[in-house]
Amino acid sequence: MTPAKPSKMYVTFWGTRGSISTPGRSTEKYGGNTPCVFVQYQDTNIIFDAGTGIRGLGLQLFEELEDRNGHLSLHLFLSHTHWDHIQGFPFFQAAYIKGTELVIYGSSNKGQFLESILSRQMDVDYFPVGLSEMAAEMKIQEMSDETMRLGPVVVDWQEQIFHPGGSVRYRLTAGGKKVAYATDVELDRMFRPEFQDENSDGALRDYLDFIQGVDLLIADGQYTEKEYAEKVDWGHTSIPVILELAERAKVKQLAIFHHDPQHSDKILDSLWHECHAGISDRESGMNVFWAREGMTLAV
Amino acid sequence: MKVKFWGTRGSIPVPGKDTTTYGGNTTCLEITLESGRKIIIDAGTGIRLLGQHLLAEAGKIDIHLLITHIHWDHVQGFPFFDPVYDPESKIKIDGFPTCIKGLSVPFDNKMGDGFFPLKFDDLKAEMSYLDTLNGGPLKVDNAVVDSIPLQHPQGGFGLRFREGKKTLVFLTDNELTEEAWAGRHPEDYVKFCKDADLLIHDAQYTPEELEKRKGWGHSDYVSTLNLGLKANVKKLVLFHHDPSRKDPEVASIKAHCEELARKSNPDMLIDAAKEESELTV
Ligand SMILES: [Zn+2]
Ligand SMILES: [Zn+2]
Ligand SMILES: [Zn+2]
Ligand SMILES: [Zn+2]
Repeated sequence: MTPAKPSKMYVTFWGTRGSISTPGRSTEKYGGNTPCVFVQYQDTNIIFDAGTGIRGLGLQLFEELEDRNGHLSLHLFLSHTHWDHIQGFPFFQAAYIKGTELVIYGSSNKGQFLESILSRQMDVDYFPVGLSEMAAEMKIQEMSDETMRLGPVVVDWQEQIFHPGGSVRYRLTAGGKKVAYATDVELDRMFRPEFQDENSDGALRDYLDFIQGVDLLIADGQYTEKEYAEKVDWGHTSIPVILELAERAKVKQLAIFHHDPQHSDKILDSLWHECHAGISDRESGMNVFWAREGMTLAV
Repeated sequence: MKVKFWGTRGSIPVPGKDTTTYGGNTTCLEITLESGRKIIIDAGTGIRLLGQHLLAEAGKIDIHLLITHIHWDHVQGFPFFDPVYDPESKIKIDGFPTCIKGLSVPFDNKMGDGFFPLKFDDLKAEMSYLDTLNGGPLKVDNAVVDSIPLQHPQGGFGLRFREGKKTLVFLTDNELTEEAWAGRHPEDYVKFCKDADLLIHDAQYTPEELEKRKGWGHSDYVSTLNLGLKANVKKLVLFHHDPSRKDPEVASIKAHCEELARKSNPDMLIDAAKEESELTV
């Protein structure tokens, strides 16, 4: 008798681009869709963010419907409601399938409730189909408990204050492995003395604890150090800072995410090369890569 | 007149290898008049690269921006249009009466729960709303622009540009249907497009797809072709490609239109809008 194969979390990148979708030849490799990451662990389906990438995911889920016994149960976790993280939602075909169970989670730490933000996106003036017309059994849930359990998957979350309007980071624990999704956060403001404020030290400690030893960290690394100097307070992180912090926290794999719209495949390739020259000097053993649309990792 | 396509896709931007020929950015056109003045139509994602191009070309900009209607795919690129952050930019806005509301909606709404970190009021450019097209034609140098209502949910404007002897008509997000009321009936559009040198029109669906999507506000390519033929336009360009449409499919729709047109008007030129391509009228 062969022992049962241990389950893994399968992490697929459907959208990796930050700020705005960037179609065209120069972004074919790393992708031009805005954030959407799908994590599947046994029968638990988790989606991070609903950028334009969620359109492709929805089509794929629809195709797999038969293999999934005609039924979908999905958990969508929103980091925040900036446009690049919700703009694909009206095009998420799975939400139009009757019988689909879809729970949407987001921070309650907002001036308006999550539901009204999503409804505003699908207001009749801006989009021809209203939120209430989506056929799925939809539940919009503002998170209150610190830890959630979705079957065998434990979901932890924390607020990130260093981003305009705030954002939420998430961590999944399943099968003894951890995957963290922490995008749209300005770690430079927490870490570099010249940019810190009175909240920085506490925020940095919480962040390092949260990502400590994770098997995969999907992290904001939108800017080069030089670009960051022009974009202080825009809410995103420079590459050297995320490398340094991920190493400190003994992250095993680091996926740099939320690529700048100005960064072509050529630029991202060369950033990868530069980074790998540096990493071998430090010999941390951390595997670093730039997230590519369509890529699946087994964690 | 010249027209350059910066965004040709309907509904949602579609990056990826399947759309690199016809383009994945949502609606944005650049019209250059004989005088050199630029008129931009719509602020879909295509406007991001247009903004960079304009600043690189001229340093500072003085343009008209006309908005057909305010569905997301026609306004979502506006926060990424670099000239709005330049105090030297002058942008004269006109089009569908709700256009200012539409251009401001992607921004922060002052409640801290906006769709974008900045507020519309933070923009540096000198922007003015002309409010002319709603009442009648708009004159820009030697060109005259006038409008026609669209058959589309929540409405919108189609636009006609006339300069010298040349006429260009842009009609997107328009459902050509016999069921439409007077003013938006196919015959009304035939009149509006009559003998145009160039007609750019919504051709999002195939006739089969349209069967399931009546009332969504878009046309199938056969109806669009018939409008071009009846109006006797010299060139027809198919526009607002469906997000699901891959490049070879767009090409075969174009070929099918050419084949259909061969019997009645073999002289009419037909093309499908390609991002980054430019046409002279
Ligand atoms: Zn973002
Ligand atoms: Zn954000
Ligand atoms: Zn449209
Ligand atoms: Zn529309």
